Amino acid sequence: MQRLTKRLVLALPLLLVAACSSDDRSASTTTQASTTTQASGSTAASTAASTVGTATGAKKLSVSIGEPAAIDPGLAQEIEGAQVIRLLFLPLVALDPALEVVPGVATKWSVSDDGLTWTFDLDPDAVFSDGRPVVAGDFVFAFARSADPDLAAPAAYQGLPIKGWADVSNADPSGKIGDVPVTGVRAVDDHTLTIETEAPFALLPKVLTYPIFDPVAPEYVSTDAKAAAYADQPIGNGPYTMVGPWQHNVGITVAKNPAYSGPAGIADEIEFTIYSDADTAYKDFKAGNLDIARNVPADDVADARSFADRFLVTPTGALNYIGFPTNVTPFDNPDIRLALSLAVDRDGIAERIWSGTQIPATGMVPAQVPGALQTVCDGCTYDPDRAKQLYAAAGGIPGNKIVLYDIADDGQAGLEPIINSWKDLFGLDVEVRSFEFAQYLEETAAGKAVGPFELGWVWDYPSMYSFLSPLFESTSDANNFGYSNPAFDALLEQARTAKDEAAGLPFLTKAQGIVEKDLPLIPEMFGEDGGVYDTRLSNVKVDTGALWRLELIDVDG
Amino acid sequence: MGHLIGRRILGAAATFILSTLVVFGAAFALPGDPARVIAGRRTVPEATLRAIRIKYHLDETLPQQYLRWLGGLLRGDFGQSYASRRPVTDILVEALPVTAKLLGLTLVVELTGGAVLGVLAAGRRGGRFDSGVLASCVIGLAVPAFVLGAVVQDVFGVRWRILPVAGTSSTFAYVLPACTLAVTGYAVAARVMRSQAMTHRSEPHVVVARAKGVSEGAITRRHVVRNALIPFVTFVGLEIGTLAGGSIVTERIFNLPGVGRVVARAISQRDNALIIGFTMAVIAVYLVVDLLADLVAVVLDPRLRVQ
Amino acid sequence: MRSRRRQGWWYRISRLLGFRIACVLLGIVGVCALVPQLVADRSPSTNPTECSLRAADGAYQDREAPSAAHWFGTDAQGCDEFSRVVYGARTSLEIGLGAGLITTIGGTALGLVAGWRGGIIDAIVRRLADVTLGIPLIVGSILLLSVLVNGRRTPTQIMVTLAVQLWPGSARIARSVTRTITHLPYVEAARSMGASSTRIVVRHVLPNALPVVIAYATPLIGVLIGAEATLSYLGIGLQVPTVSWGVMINDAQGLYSRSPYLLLFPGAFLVAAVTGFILLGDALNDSLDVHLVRA
Repeated sequence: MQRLTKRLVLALPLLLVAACSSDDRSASTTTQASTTTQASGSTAASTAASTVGTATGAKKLSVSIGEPAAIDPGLAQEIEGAQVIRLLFLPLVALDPALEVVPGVATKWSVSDDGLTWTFDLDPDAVFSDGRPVVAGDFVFAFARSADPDLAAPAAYQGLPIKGWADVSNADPSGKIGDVPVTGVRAVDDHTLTIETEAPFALLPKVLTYPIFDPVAPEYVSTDAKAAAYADQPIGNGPYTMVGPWQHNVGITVAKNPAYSGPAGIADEIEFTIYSDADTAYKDFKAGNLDIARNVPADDVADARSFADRFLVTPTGALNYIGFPTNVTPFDNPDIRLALSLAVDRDGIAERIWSGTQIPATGMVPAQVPGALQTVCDGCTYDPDRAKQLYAAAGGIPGNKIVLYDIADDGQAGLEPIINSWKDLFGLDVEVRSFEFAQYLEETAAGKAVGPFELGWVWDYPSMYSFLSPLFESTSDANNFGYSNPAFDALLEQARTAKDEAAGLPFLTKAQGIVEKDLPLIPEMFGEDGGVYDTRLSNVKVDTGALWRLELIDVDG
Repeated sequence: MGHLIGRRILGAAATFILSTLVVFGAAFALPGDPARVIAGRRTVPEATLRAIRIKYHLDETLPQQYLRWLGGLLRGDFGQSYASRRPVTDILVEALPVTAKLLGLTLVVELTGGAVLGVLAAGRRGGRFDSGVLASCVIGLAVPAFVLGAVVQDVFGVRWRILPVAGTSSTFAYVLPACTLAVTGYAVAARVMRSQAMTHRSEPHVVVARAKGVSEGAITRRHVVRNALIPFVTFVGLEIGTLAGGSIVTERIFNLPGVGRVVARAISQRDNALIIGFTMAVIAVYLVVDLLADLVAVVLDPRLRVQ
Repeated sequence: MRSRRRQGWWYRISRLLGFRIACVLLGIVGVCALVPQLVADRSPSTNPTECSLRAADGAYQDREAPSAAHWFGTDAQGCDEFSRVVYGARTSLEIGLGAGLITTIGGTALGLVAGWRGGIIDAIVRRLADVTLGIPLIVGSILLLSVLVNGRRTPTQIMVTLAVQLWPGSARIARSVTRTITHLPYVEAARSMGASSTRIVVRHVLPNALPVVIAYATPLIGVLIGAEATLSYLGIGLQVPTVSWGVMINDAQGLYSRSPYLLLFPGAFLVAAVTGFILLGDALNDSLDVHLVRA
């Protein structure tokens, strides 16, 4: 009761602020043209002091994007959303362009000797874009919200190492979001946050860079109507803030957040134009309508190379693979798995089908991930002769016929060469079964799949652990190979309980070696993403997770 | 006549109810768990799925869900999209103007093109002009939108840069998609108009008028066009449904955020609420236009009133 | 008497320019569909499924533009485009003719029954037809294919999916012909003399309805071929390893700016096949002296 009144008192002045600013926003959407120039005029004035010798007029940046799944940090689940969220929000701890953990809202942090309790000191100057201070309680609420089954956050599993998280997300739904606190997360005072983990977990800071842990003030989402508005126009604490709500399938515009106390972004306004088709975005870029076209499709790559160093290609932290149901014959036979894998012409596929926009996989973890093996795994080469030999020695596949699962909504260009090659080398007839993704995971779940299936995995945070644990640990939900190796599981446990992330790396590297020998999946491609940018831009950076660091880009004119 | 109109409206209403049953049934027969769609692409705990089922009423039986949906419909509420977690009505309101603009422009192009060329061709039966129009109709019917769309996009948008490649930036951006979509309809319209105009040209009252010395232009205006328009109106009614389907392909080629794109995505995502909402909206529009077309035909053709 | 009438029809139709063009187009497509190996053999590489990412010496090969070795070039998979286009004709014709036959027989039967019996059956059939017409073909196809097909999209399944949705046209024609004919004096006379329903339908209704239905169904085959290609283009129709024009066009989308021939060759054959059926339909319409019967 007492807490409630206190919160109400706190909320009152903020409601007024919110009311004012929302009025501004509605004005800016109705008379878009005039207010945009006005707003940019004022921000240009403020940046004139900081950036020396820039031309007058606002620095505007237009960027292509796919329709995000969500820009509410709690519901974040993919890179298009992250591209926006990372401008709007500053997380507790952040990732720099080299993907090292750096301070975010937390200026410093430490872990107790038993490795269970983490203490974060928060920046007392941190504020949301509406001026409301960011306090430890906003993180406590955000964690409770993301863990709550009522929010149904797609990436809620990320919080499982945190004490009490599982209890919240497995509890019966109450119908109200964020009402049950996560016991391991506590606000000691407004500027001190402690997080307890179930067991020592050296990678916690890296996990916390995921958007579902970004701060949310409870009053922003206190009613259904507010929550719905928040989903389209979240109020963040990052270098940029929304200009009007998200225009679904059209665009999202953000402008510099004047309240942000950290290093300000360079561009005054960033306009995301939403494309359903990256090829169209590329054409639009060539027609001069975009500053940056991300996700240049494979077929435009040859053309995009003509932009030379204005065509940036970066690895995405994705592994595309063909998984085996390892407890179904004949895929329980490691030699058959190896033979099928050796028959895949990764270089040929990367070159011919993807025009070099994908990297032939060299193992289970993309090579740019810290600690990942830099060798090419035994099954990751193209060796038709050895494949034939192994296949014959293992007695082949009865009936020479297998089922291959295909995700219906992503094209089949990458599967065709593999089907052709299997047919060619082993005389294997492949029956393709296509399912939309909504049904795909059910059809290929462990125990249901009767043949190999194509699928991909993208890291949640840049660590080997984000590949090895979810995919291959015997207790993981995402392990649909039915793969289980006690030696592998033990090594992962060692990595978790290590002193810090670096100390755990050798165990992860060793674990990678084991799983690459067992080959529960055929590693096919590591993801790569290319984008082109206009001559007006400078200091263009894409981090190794394929996230464009738009706040750092300078715009000329 | 009032009786006739009343019966037509009742019929349309019955068709609508029947359609809701068919579409609702089909959407729910789709394999795949909608709760998992809402949960996203990752694995989620059982409690989350339970929470979703309760929130979206997926735990109810099919008839219960159907009645709930019908109830919502009466209040103008189409429910909530599974994939984007937004009200279907909102998505509808966003996407409809795009498709309406596209279809409107398409109709204008194909109807004026079809009507004018059809009537002119009928007047020059067997001549070179007539053959040209007929040939253009055959080509129009035979060339699929996805081939034509790719070609015009490349020629006008990329090579010559006269018109926008894609998007909805200006009305000009609708020109290429509308022309692409209009080609089939144009062909049908021109053929209908031509054969109608030809029939009416040789009817006794026209022959009499001609014998009386009424000018050819006046005959065309007063007798031929007016009468030829009647089946033409019926054609427009049917055409709306065809165009709504065709817009899926066109909107995909030209990256237009319209109804067709939303429906295609909704189906692949098992977004039942969205599938049902959109399909029913299309059917409703089709039924209303069809009804209007019939009524206009009655107004234009006094004979139908006697029936 | 009979033979003279036939001759008259043949005389009329064979003089039509459209008919001659249709014969040429359908002849080409038909030969491709019936004996693809014969046609593809004329080209240096013949097997549509023999595809390789690498040349004989192991080096990668890019998509090749049309040349003497590959008349229509090669696609991204390293398959010979010419032999694929030739082999693809069979799939398209199979689906067009198959679905056309099913939908015409089914629709005609429904129309006959509805027109003959009238009353409640007639009302139900008309309502069903309205619903079917109201659901756009592509939306209906996506729904049906998702519901009925468990991951395997074969030509038969596409055929049935399309057939199920296109019956109202022939049903309407059959119904209205039936209704007109049953009121003709000689049919009423036959009826009053105690002729059975079956006899009247077979002797009087069918022979009159058939030319109209055939004239309607012929261009429909073209429409069906186009519809299959559209579904495959959207990625919801046929799938590899089936060789079909639609699948080829689906593979070619996005490659257009650099390799337009990958879209234009299958596209041209598709247009040729559809044009053939439309022209044939027109020719039948003109020569059979069909009065378009309206519902």
